[in-house]
Amino acid sequence: MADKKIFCEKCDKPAVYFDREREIHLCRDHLKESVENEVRRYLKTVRLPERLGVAFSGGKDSTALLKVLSEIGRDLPCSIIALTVDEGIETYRQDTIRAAEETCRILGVPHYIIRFQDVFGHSLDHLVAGSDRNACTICGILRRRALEILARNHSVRVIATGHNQDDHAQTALMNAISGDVRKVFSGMGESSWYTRRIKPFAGVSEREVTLYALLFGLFRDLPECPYASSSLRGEVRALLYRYERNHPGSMRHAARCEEEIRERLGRIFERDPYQTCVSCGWPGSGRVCQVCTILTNEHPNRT
Amino acid sequence: MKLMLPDQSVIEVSAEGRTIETILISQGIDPLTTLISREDEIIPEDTIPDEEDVIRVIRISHGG
Repeated sequence: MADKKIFCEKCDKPAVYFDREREIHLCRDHLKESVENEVRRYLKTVRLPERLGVAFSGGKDSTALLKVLSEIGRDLPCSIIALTVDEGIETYRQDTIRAAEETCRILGVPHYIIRFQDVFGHSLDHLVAGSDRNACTICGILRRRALEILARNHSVRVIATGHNQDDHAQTALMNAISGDVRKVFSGMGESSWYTRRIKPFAGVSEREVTLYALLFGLFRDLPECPYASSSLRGEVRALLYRYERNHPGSMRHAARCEEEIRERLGRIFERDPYQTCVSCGWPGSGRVCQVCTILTNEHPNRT
Repeated sequence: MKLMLPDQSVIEVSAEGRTIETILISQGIDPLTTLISREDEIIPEDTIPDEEDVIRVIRISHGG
């Protein structure tokens, strides 16, 4: 049987990607152009600082983001630096940190790393050992604080993260399922304390992001975090992929829907004001912030 | 045709004029969680492969 090779809709080169929603095929050059144009479009909607930090784990999403920002750098009014948090996860983090360092070297982007061990006195492995607490919850809270400290140390007030459209759609559906409206509006608005977050891949699918990294030779099939759980997010992801396959555009609609709710209702939704942690002085949601709660619970004798 | 899976295992399947997407679904693999390559070139999942092809399935998304 003769092979039916598929070509780009915009030129005569072989296609590498099928955009299911627009029902068009794209070659590698036009896929790259499409991703970069979407990031350019997003960045025009946000206020950029002189120095933009990129939350850089060394995984495919943040690697692709760093590459896109490097590619379109001359169009941007800001310099780029990469910020990595080393949580201290044996047999996993060494590979991704090495990949992150290698990528920054290739792209010529200044790279700074902060370690849980140095900030909190312990690695994540140590903090979760023998604990029945969810490692991802502990890690998420501590990583946010560590990244915030690293950003401040390098005069960064805006951080770009590699969250893609699929991540947004999953979060939107998870928020709907949990019924916690506060989560929909969390992180909204200006804060004099916390570094502002932007998500240039909000309109780019995970497949496009991965393909972009792969086409530039920057995709590495790194090991999965040993603490990754496959609970609700895994189920939601599988559900959304099925919808996307049967109803192309579902993923984008789900992500966009929550964003529109945030845009339209964010200003009138009353959020709980920050309190100052009596232990560390950082702002948080209670008398003692979540970081101090974790460190105290894991190490009751800590003063 | 041969299907090289993300865990490096290789299975033999009959293409029968089906798209790679259809073949992946028949193997219990969601095509949207993968990228596909043939002879080190990425190809779209709606490609109809030859029976002689070796198709590599690249996993893009981890669980969790």
